[in-house]
Amino acid sequence: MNTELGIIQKEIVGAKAEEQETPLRQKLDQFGELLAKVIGIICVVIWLVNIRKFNDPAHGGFIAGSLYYFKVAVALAVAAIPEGLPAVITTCLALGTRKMAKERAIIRKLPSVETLGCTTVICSDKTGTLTTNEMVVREFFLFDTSPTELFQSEVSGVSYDPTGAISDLEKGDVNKFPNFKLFCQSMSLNNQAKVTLKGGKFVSSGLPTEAALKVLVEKIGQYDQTYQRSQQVELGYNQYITKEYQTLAMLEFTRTRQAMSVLCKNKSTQNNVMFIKGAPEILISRAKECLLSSGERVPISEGQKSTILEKVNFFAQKGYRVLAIAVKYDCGPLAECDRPENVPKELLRDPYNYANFEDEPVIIGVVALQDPPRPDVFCSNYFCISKLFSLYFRLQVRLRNVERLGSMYS
Amino acid sequence: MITGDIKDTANSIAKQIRIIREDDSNANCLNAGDFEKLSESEQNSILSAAMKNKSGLVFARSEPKHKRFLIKLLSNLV
Repeated sequence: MNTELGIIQKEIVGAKAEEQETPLRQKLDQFGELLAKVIGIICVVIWLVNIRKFNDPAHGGFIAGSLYYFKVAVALAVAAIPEGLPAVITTCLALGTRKMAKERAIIRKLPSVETLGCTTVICSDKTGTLTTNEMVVREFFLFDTSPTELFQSEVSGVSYDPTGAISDLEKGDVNKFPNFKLFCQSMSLNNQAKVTLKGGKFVSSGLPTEAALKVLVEKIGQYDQTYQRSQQVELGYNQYITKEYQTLAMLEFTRTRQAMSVLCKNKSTQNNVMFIKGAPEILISRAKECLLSSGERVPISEGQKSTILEKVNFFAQKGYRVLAIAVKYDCGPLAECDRPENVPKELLRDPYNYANFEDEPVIIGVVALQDPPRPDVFCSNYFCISKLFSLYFRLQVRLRNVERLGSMYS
Repeated sequence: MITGDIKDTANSIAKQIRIIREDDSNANCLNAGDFEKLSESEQNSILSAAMKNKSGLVFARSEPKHKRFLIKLLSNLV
């Protein structure tokens, strides 16, 4: 129970324990309790009303008389309990389900409809529920000649289809400016998503954000003179550009540090580097340097950082998810290992340590991804409210009918 | 709306799908972490105000535990 999964499981178990009974059950329980009380009182009253007749000689003594009228009271109670109530309720619910089925609503769990009927607040997720969860990089910027001179570009294209133009970029620019190569390598290596072509449509396995980054790498690949795209390989440029690196270890994403990274070995220089991506406000605030288009690393001041963060905020206000792409050359205690097997495992056991390895990253650039809202979500707020009201009304009517039928039947 | 995204992104999406109105102040968009740190009465007053005004409320940068925490608070209010 101490693993991340265990923690989530704990939350789920806790939430289950808090689960309340459905409104119908609550109402029925109340009804049952009330019925029991009323019947009980009536029985006692019936018994007491006859107290003067206890001495009647026909019964033969006071005790025998009281017992006789006690039996009468019990008989009344037994008769008054609505034995047919459960059957009536089941029938009513079955009729209700049939009527709903006629209106093309088939429900697997009836209690969920009941809960809908008395909804006052709707808590919704965003990603995947209100939005499509098919990310696409819309804009990005890299550093040009100084930390304040930015090369900013817009990317066209929809979903995971790797065709799309990048504005202000010409064929060969990718070879002219070495920061593009590192930008692509960082995005592609620090990435576990796969994009495949299935039935004419590009689908991803893995996180949508990561898939979108791989797609961006493919789009940048069109501007690389040394690369010839072949139709057969879906992520050809990703493979082409990451050839010179071997992945040694992965430092998974944790929510607390809002970043993830991968440790790679450059096959030609035998040096280790770390490719990092994560929340810009965190990565940029921890950075000391940035990478210029010349491939040069220059220090970045606090003032320059806030200008960049302003830019990031500007992206975010447009509804974009913003990620900073970074690299780190000084891998500290991880610099020595050269194979995945001899990565010091004890250092990487605790995910809370990961942030230490990622300290002082060199910022390469920032990407802005969009997860557009589902087209059918726009007006559904109003729709939702009106539908809920009608459903609520119907359920209320039905509940009252159940009660009335129940009391008639007894 | 409860999301892990940052405040501005959450705000923009929420406005696009009209969970919160275009002219709303940013008071309807909170960081879940900040909200958690408020006192219980402050939390309740924010939630009940949103329920009374029938306005949307957006929680940004939330973690899974915040979902349960929020639902617990809300169900106590209803």
